[in-house]
Amino acid sequence: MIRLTRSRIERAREIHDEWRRHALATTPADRPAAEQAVRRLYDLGGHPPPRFVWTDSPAGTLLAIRAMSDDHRQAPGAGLLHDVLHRRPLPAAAWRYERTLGRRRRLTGRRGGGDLGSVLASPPVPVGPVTRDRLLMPPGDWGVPPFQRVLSSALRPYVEPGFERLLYDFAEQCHTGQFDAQSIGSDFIYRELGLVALRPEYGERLDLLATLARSAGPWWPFPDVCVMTERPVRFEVQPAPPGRGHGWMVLHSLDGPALAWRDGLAIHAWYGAPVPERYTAGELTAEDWLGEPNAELRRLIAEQMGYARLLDDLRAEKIASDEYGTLWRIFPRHIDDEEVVLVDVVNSSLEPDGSQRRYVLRVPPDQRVPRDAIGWTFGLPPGTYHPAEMT
Amino acid sequence: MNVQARKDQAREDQAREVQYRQGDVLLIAVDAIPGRAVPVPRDQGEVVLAYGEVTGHRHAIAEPHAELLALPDQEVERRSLRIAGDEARLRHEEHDTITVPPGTYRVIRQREYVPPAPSRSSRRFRPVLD
Repeated sequence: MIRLTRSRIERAREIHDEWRRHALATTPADRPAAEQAVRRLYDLGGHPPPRFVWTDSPAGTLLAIRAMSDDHRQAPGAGLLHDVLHRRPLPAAAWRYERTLGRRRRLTGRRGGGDLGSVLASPPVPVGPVTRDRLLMPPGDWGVPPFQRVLSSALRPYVEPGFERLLYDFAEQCHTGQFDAQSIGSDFIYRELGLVALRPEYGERLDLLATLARSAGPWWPFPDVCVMTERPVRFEVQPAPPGRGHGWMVLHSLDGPALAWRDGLAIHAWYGAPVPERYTAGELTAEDWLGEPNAELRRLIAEQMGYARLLDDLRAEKIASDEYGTLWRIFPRHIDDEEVVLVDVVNSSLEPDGSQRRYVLRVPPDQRVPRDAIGWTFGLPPGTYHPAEMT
Repeated sequence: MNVQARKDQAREDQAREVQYRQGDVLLIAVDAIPGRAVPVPRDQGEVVLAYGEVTGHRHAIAEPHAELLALPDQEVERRSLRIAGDEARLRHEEHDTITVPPGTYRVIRQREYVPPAPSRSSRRFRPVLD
């Protein structure tokens, strides 16, 4: 059993930090290094060296693969050289040994884990779940997921309708190169801290895949040709909100795309929630605010626009104002629309710049008193809203 | 007491209850918590009254003597807070902390009006997730 010492945690954190930097890198790909690693991987598999096609983004890669394939309906993974891509994540391999094969004290077995013997030179050091978690996710650290799933919707405009299957397979396979960096970092933690001893051949393979993870985007090995993707030019993340992937990063940028490549492929997201491009391009309108069903995204929209502009754009008319807030009315645009009545609530808490945070909520059209309208939002009858303290 | 007088009485009672508001959460002092209510587990050691759906910001109390309770079959709108013994601090990333005296409270999430969709649903409001 390995002991969880301070120096081991610190070293794990250093490795983790280094690979997070690679995972989020936005510098141009190191093409010579990446190509050399791919050539060696082809060589290890007994394949002749490929010709390289570089594209500026996963969209370019998707189009390049489609252009190569005779049958567009054929999944893009079908012709892939899986022996070239082969990688066995070490924490999962060690866990598998512990759970099943280890009972028989063997690295090979009939049920599924048969290739552990080609990866590990000796049985892995037993690691408890707490130690494993502390090493793979040092306290206060955040992992970078591969983000391949969020690519699907951004790539949809690049293929004709009816190619969902192709798109799905492509996005699922986009976990190589840079998008593999975080997971490679975990492998390095296991190897460097001596939790596993690798067979030399697999050790070389891991180093080659690591070279690719720190020098290029996702790559696609086919017979004779390898399609290589450039790295993005913008990559903005922040820790995931609780309950939405604790310990992982999510894409987030209020102004501009969260993830973008040089050819224009871009993903816009606020706290991991995909948003339309105009949300982050400074082209927000009052219509966006009215149409957004999520109150929190709506508040972010209003803050991006500024409440003054929002109410101005809506041509809102003030109904009344009191110490709790202000009530606004927007006349209906269509004859059968209901009148929109909004209460403008001011939080007492001061922002770092001394201003007060505001937010605007829709209330029933018969509301006339701001205090009662705010009371309504808490389900209270008129005249009963009177907080002793509000922040 | 006629119906109107009883209504007025109820309203007066309500008007005397102490209320605390932190952003989109309102605490109203109540006499008792429904007997069937069961404790809601803590999240990372804290009692979390509400989460922001997008930002994940939370209205939370760290003190061990606070307890959040919910009726087993009820939505988040019907929850209660019990603070035993000493006061507790309700914290949030974007709001000033509120010091809540010991007692029992109803926890109300702010809601918003949703105009009736012709033929679709009869929902007249939706919760605010700040």
